[in-house]
Amino acid sequence: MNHSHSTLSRSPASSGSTKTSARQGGLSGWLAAQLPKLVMAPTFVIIFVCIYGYIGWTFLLSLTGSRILPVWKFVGFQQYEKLFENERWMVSLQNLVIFAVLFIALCLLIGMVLAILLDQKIRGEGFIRSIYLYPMAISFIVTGTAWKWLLNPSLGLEKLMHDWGFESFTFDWLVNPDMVVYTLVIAAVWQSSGFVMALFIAGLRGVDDEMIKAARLDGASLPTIYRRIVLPSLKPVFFSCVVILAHIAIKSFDLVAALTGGGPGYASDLPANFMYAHAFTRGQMGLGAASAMVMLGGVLAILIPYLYSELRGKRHG
Amino acid sequence: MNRNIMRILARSGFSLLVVLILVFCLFPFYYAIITSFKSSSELFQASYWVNQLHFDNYQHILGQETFIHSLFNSVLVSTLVVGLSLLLGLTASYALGRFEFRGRSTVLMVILAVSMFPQVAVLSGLFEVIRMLGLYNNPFGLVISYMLFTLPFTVWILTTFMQQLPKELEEAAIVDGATPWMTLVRVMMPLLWPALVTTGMLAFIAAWNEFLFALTFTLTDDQRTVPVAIALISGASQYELPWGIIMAASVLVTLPLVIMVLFFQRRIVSGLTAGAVKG
Repeated sequence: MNHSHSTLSRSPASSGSTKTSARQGGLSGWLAAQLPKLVMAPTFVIIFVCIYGYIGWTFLLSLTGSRILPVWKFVGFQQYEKLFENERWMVSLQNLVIFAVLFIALCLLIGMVLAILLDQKIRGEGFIRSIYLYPMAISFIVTGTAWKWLLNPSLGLEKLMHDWGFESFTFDWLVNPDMVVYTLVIAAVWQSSGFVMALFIAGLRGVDDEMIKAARLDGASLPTIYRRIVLPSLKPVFFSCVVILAHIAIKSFDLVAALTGGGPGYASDLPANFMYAHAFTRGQMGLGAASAMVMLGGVLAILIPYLYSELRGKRHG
Repeated sequence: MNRNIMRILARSGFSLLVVLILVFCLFPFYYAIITSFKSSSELFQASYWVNQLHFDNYQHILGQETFIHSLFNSVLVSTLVVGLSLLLGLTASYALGRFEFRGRSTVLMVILAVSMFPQVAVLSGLFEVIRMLGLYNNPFGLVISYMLFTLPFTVWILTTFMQQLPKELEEAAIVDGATPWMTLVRVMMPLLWPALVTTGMLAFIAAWNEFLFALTFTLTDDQRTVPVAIALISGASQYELPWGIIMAASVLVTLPLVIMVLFFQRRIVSGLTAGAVKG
């Protein structure tokens, strides 16, 4: 099958469906008319009831004083007040901002550069592309462990540099509370930039060849073509990438658990680690639930404008 | 003349960049692999190739009964998740992709939004329900919880693919008197299998690598999945991790997935772009 990307990327809510012909009368007619809903029901119920139901549960929990077990004694928004007075939470929020901004920016930069490089019809493109893409299959746990080994001051990169003769080389980010959050960025970028590249390549392939040819005929240089034609048409891919990467950043938990364990101290905690620690190991269920709701709010703040623009784009398109 | 030199410079700059990023991509995993083949005395000598293959680490990890249990659990959970997600996803996307009904785009948006929510937002509620169902510390509890996150993107990708198939085929089947179920199984399925392979693989990777739920919903070593098992391997003291064994375990659980991704690279990319890129 030949999936050209312009058709491939049409989103599901657009046209192209068959109207059910439910003109036969009686039960079978009714069945035929209701079939789509019946068929969809199990999936929809699972997703809707469970996820939205559990979120409701978490919200209720965040309004209670629950500690080790859920206790339905409501205390209003006290837990939220306590949350923002909690130093560890503020550290994890700050870490998230640093981590998310750098992670998204670097992934986009590397991904875009790689995609443009690979779009030059160079030899062995498929092979190189696979190599850039393979970290995607690796779990954050394994990524975290491998980088922990690599960045360990006495074992990995630093020792390597010493063996090469650079005696004064020091690289102690993993145990330095001020720098440890950047080790998370390095490992996460390593894992995700190949995926961003894949999305950009797909976007580049969707750019109209005729327009580029026309621009060439008019004597435009390659950088100009990229700046004026190619990059502007990549805007939707760009936005999708930002949303996906932001979502990966906010829910990062495994990477921290494997690479730094949140340490030294809690210097490299991210909100998800804060939530897990308080809800499940420190017996502060209400506080944990409140932090989960704040994180959800963050995701919605990104997601709602995105979905809104998607829907609007569809109506006008 | 000058232009030629410039061009050669640009070319070599390009190649240098490609090679640099290749090294950045390959080195960590390469280093993990050679570490896994070192004996414990060689472990702390930095070297960039293997002088002598030592299988001690692999023997050790494969001799551990709990690790074998974890592997088995991971295979069981991932396979079930893929099977169930595809079955439910297929029927749902058939309805969403092929029939017009009121509220269809709302349903799609609700489903898409779900796949973006942070897992911790449902963690407490899910924990209570799984305990209530008696599925705590049980791989089947994991299957249920993973489905919540694999189903949305399965439905989304399959719906996109479903809409690209020509309508005429299906109409012909309906004219010939085929029931919707028969149309789905006999007409649509053979055309959909590339999409099924893609989504199945993505669901498999997601389930195989999942950590937060697996950590929260299991208690004992024999019920764990491999990511948790690897994360919890520890040495005699906290500062003395058995690196060789950890790396051997990491390589063992990663290699099948890496091979799969390399093999099906094109399919995965087209599957990913189906949901994320708009032309």
